[in-house]
Amino acid sequence: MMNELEKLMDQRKTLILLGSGGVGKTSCSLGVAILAARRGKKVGLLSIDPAKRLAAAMGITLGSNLKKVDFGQDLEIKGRLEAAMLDQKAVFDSMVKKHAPSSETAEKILAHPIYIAASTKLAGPGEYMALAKLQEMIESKEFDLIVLDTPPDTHALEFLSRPNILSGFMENKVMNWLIKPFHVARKMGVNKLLTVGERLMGGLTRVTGIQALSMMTEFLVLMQQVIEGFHKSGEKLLETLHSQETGFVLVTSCHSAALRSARNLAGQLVSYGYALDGVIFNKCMPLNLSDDLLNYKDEQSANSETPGFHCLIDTLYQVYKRERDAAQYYVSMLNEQYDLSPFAIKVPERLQSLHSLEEIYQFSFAFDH
Amino acid sequence: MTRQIRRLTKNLTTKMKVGQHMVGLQEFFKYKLVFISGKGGVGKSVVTASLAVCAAKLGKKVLLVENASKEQLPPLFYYNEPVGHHEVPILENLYCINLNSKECFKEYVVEHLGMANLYKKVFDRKLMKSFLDAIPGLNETMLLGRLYHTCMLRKPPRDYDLVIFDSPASGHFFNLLNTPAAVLGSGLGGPLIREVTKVNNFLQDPELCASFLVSIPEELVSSETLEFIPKIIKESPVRLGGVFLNRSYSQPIKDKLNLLMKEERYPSLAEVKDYLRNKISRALKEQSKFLEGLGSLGLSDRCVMLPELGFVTEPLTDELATRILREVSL
Repeated sequence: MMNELEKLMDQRKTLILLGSGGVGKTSCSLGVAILAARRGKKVGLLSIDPAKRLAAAMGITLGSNLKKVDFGQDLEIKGRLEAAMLDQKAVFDSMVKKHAPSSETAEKILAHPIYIAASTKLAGPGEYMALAKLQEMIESKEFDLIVLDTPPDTHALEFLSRPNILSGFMENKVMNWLIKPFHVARKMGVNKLLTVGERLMGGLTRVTGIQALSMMTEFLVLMQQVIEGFHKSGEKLLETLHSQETGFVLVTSCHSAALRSARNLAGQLVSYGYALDGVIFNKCMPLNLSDDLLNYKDEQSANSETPGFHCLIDTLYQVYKRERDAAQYYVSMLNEQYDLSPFAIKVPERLQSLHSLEEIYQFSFAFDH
Repeated sequence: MTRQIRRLTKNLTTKMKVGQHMVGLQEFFKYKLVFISGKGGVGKSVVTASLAVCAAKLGKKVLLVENASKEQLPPLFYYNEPVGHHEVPILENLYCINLNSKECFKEYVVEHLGMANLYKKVFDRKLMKSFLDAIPGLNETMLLGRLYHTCMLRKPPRDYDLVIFDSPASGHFFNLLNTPAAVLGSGLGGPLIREVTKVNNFLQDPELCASFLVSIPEELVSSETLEFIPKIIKESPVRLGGVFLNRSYSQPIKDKLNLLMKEERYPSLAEVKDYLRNKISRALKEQSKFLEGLGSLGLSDRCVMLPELGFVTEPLTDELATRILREVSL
């Protein structure tokens, strides 16, 4: 029988996994992607800033390109899996080359100090870059299912709202406003800038210095078409993200900090108008222990000679109880507060991390059992 | 409310004390600004809060800082209202703020540069806000600038002895620390650059600033931490003060495990026992591997061990937490 996650894979073309740091998002994305490939789908997996070990285990190098994962003879895969583990700068570079009006402009952009700073050293653009890559993958129509592993938590939110930020940037015609005076100023010489009477520019200059401003603007002029290109694919993507083709799955552990973040993420998703299809409770205690623990608890209460028999087992029992309650509580909270009824899957913790493709492959069975 | 806070304080300080090296912590409290980072999910915020409580108890006036869309720190103190961009007293000697980089920018222009009028006329406009959003690194720069300002330029009674920043997770943390260098390297000039130079010098001062990493004895996490340490030592302006190994196992837990293994009643618990043995012995193995790794980086004396509290999460008021704490500290 198909479980809810498998049904979802047949309904959606893109699945986006969200969650706070350390809950095992990347592992779960791999598990979900391999499950889909085992079921015969052509799957694309996009991961940002993954643990190097996971990339190595998959036989994938960081970059901007998709690579087919080779499962070898022994692991049965009916479909296929192509994965890309993104390196921010590599994707940024390829997007610039794609959208720049000419290769000369692209070269100039790539060599510009602001670009170098922004593409390598600063946080932020990486998330947007992944969205651009996602759009490219969707447009290629080569995949039955695309799985997107997002950056943690607050960065994921930034990530999802970014097409909007860029839209604001475009709709407000910031580019025109800002660039125009510089086209003028360039002809007249930068020092005459302030006499152009552009108050906005004057204000910025007083804070950042004239050089900062002219560099920034020079950069924006160069980037104009690239930004427009980003903007267009961002708009398209935003449409796709809101459509029936895209589903969102939250990944969380049962720790209270993770659940707090998960609650926040769910709220944000709703406010952006996205659909939350499911919740994966990762790193749960192995299910086979629960009966033993319950029996032990019964026996123990029947036998008053051994109160508080062993703290370690008591602890474990408490953890089991908390996990069970937390998952139930969380799902009913989503229902009451946001009118969401996502499915819930519990994935048992692995005491060992995923070292090899075979281990990752085996891990994927946690999602259809 | 007060009772809860008292209990929480007790728990948090116990957590610190059982981490054997209270002496090692003295080192921690000597800085002006401390960054605490680590991979997500290692208990960074709880450790940060614990350290802040300890420092406050030692009589220091402490500001606990985060920069988050959803605040993580106040709930640890049963403070359920968001504190926002305000320094709010949380306990005696302890204040909390959720720094907002847009507000930091406003403060910079209005208070620091004294250009309130300019701010109102220029930067407060929707158009300009969109533009500011698009400037890479501006938010990070403003955040660090505000930390510098709070640490170094405040006059009593508004000053602090120690500012502790619950920093972003490793990768973003690294980028954050390197933003000033990136800005300085971009060849810009003007007042902002003079400011950034000051901030960068402050970050580089080993007497004033340090970063601490939190890790746990779990293979993927500790190996990433060991890979991250040389990078942060070599390529970031801030001195690495030390490492906290959170959720580590001490002798009392090992003893309990041995006792449990010898216990022959309850044969139905075989699987449970196996699970516990497996879990704890793996963690112990990772723990010694991690300490070895630190040793080969020449940092063996810079690790503070914090105990596993029985898989307990915050807020640390469950009976369970209290009990495990008692047992670990025996």
